[in-house]
Amino acid sequence: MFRKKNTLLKRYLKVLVYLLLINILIVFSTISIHELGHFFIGSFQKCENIKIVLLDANNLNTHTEMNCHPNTNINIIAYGSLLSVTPISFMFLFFEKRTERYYGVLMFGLNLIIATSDIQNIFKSNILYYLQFTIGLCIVIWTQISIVNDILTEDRGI
Amino acid sequence: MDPNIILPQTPSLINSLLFVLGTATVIFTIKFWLSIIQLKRLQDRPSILIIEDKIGGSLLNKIVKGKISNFPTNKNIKFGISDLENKFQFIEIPIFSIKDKSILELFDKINLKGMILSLDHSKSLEAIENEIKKIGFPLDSKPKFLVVNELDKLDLDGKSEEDIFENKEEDIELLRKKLINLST
Repeated sequence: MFRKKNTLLKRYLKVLVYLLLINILIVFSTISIHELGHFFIGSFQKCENIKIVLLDANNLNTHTEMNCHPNTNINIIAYGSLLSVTPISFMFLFFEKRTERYYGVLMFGLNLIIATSDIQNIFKSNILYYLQFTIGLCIVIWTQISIVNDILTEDRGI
Repeated sequence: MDPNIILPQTPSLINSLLFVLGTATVIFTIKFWLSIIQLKRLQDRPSILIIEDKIGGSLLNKIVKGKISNFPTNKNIKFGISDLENKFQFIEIPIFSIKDKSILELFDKINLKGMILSLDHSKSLEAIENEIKKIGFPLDSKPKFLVVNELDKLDLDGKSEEDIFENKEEDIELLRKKLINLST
């Protein structure tokens, strides 16, 4: 009985660690690509001193900062995040395995959540902010459920 | 020079990470333990389905019905009797109707783990297999299903059907052991 429980726990931890590692990779890559989007659009706009701050010790914030000419269109720089992550996440849809395709959808959903303030910058609308956040949240939860389902099915060898 | 444009990310790296990992852990934990409960329930379901052309008409059916108390106490092995035409009967389990021949649906309901044992003497093994395939029963799918048409296939140590029919305790015990061997 004890051995059976132990095996179950081992299996649970093994799959959980795998799932968490995949998620960590996706979060880090999404955030990096998101910020790189701002970075590249900023450099195309001839902005200077562009920096990607992954974690600011003062406020634990993640942001991209730059010095731009006053006439620079900030909206285009804000759009950079969506323009960079969306095509990459959609490329996952060409993968053969369904679970791998879900990783792309997870990336897209996560980017919608982390790009909410960019959209608010552009449209100055709270409704859009919450709408985008909710859609992103639903996508993330749905993909997590689908990925877990697929991993569990694979783990049972069905 | 201080930056004049700062594009903040609403949830920071830490928050995003905590949110995604938290969601994944909660969903996975719930799903994992639910699937374990489901598997446990599966184990309690029948592992042998006996398909016959007439309920009450066959040898094994009589044996099973007559000696129900003698049948395996092993929780993982339960026996069912089915009539492909219009009835399905489970020992200790309510009767299901399969008039529409939706065996797949029925299969899903009872979730058999492994085997079909047929003792329909009026039909050849091949005929039964074809009949089952025709209505969509996944004979070739995993787990492997086996169709046995005659008691001889069970290798009853030289016992004849008539011997078994006499319902002698030792013969029933032998048949029971053979059935269990087949199902495990």
